[in-house]
Amino acid sequence: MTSSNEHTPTAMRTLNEEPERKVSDSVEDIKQQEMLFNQLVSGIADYAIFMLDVDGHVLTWNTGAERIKGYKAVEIIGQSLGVFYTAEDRAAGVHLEALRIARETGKFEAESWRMRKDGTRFYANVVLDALRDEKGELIGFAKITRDMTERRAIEEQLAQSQKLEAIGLLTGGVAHDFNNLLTVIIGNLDIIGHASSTPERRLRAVHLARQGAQRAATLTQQLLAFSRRQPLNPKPEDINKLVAGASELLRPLLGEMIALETVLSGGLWLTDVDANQLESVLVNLALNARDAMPNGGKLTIETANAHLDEMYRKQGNLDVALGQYVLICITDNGTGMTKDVLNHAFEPFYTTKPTGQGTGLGLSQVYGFVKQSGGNVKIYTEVGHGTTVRIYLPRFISSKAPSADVALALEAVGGHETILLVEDDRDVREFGTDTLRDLGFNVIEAADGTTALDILMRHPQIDLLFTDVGLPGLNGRQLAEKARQIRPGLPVLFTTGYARNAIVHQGRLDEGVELLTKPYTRERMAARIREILDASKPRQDTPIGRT
Amino acid sequence: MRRSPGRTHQLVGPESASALRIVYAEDDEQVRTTITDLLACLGVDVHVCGNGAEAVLLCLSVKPDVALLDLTMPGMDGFEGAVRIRQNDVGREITLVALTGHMHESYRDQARKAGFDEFLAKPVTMEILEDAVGRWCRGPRVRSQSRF
Repeated sequence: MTSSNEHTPTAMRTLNEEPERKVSDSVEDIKQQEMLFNQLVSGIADYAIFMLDVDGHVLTWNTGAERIKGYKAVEIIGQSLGVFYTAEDRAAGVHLEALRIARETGKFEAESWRMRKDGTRFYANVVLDALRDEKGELIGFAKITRDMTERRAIEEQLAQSQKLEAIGLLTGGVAHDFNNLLTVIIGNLDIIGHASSTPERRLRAVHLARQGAQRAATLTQQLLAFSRRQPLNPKPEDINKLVAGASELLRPLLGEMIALETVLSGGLWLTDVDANQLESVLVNLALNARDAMPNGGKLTIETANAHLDEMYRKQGNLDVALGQYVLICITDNGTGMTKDVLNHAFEPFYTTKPTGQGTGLGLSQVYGFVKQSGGNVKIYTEVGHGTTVRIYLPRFISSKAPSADVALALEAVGGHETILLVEDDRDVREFGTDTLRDLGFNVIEAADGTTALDILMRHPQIDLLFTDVGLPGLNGRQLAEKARQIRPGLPVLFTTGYARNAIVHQGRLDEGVELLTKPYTRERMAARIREILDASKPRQDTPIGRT
Repeated sequence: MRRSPGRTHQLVGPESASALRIVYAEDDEQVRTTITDLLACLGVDVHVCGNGAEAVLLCLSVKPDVALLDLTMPGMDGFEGAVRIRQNDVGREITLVALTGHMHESYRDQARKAGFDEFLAKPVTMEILEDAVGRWCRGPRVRSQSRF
């Protein structure tokens, strides 16, 4: 203050009036603000905003709450928040659990079904915040509820139409690929049978028809892999060994422009996995990486032990079991993917490769296989920098040692035992019978389970039951059970083109069950049959004929 | 009987399969060899290539009666190949045949718009090709009788 009359009474009065007015102004301001705030909260119609006391009884109510839940303030104030929950949730104490979490952590958030006053349900997004005074004492909860029913319906509709679109893409893709392969198969069979074919052309046709059929077999395997229905044969495996083996295979595929580095972690856990399928996963990913690095680059395959915890689950991996995993990371420094491409990356027949250069089945096969193996797969990618695919496979814990490599004979190995072959498809049965007889076996055939049992009772010399799983009437599994009641210890080999049936549980083979997947070749069939027959009589000398 | 390259009479064809000249574009090697051999069994003179751009060039040099084009090929596809062939004087008289394993109706529509005269769906067999070759021997199709 610099004025000379600063201590005169008038001046004093004026000076004292200033703070008083300020205080009353600020009280007014606060009242005004409180009123505005109350108007704001009570007027909001899109959100139910209300307070609960420490025990969860309703203290305040706004327009949104009335609109969404249907109760007027007088009807609901003083009631427990339990009334908003479904009867099952209330019985399970879900509302009390929500209060507990908010009390202990400060906040609870959820999306689930809630009840309106009229008994109808709505899908709610709920946030519950603990309110505390200056001393930190709990004074109640703020609750904000939003009606998400409409949005959820739209999302479901969208998901449904996306699913249909994906199915359309899938069926269209399958039809296209099979039409090409059928052209190769039927066309070449026509060439073989055509009068004007030269011997040279006939020979090429045999070769091509076989190649076409093999491509068709690969295609069905890829589709089954994607739909998680391929028969898997998991064994405890050392992933480091598999990666080291596969990298030999990958080098020529990648070409000279791409360097391949493997970083294999010491003390890596075992994992229970189908080694052949994992190898084809690595090949698929390496091919994608190669195509993403047209001007060369580096592909790194790393292995490590990993622990997937709640944090990992919270990052959108809800269907993953917590626990120990073996991690395989495949990283390239190529072009990377855009967000849109990433979103579709696992869809079958989705491809960014030029027409005619990619089947669009590689990543979907990877996805299906990893999921069926109880693992998880994630892609991390940045446009212009590269892509990392992280595959988690569950750790195998058992006293069992890793599987010894079983070398399959390249030549078909025969024998003189008697085989009961059960198959309802005439062509497949004929192929099996002819091939086995050609290999020196004695074959008795049956088209269904009942006939097979009848034969088994009349022919005690039968050494092996080789049966299709999907048979009319008595299925293959039931047949095997009954057969073993008649002939305990009878070796059984099942065959199927499909995993999801009587023999395979959760896509995995039961212990002790022998399976030969269709389509099978003469060599594969002979090798499995020989293997099983030899295993069933370890001390006996078996006459073996080679063809 | 081989026609002279600068023919003007639209409905005269090569009459026998041995005189029929076809340019065939297909990217799938196995399918390509198969269909080439099928056509060769029928006595047709086949000139083969792997995409639309090669088909355009081949049509200009070989001047075939028929161009059989797979629709999905890397680089220039069959649709674009057909448009380019039609843009050329030589190409206007060629019977353009779309060949595809795609079943969707939109492929037919798009093929028609690209200027194809016929639509041949895979799988292709000897019987189907025998029929087609007989038809092509009778001469280029009048556009309004296009087979879609």
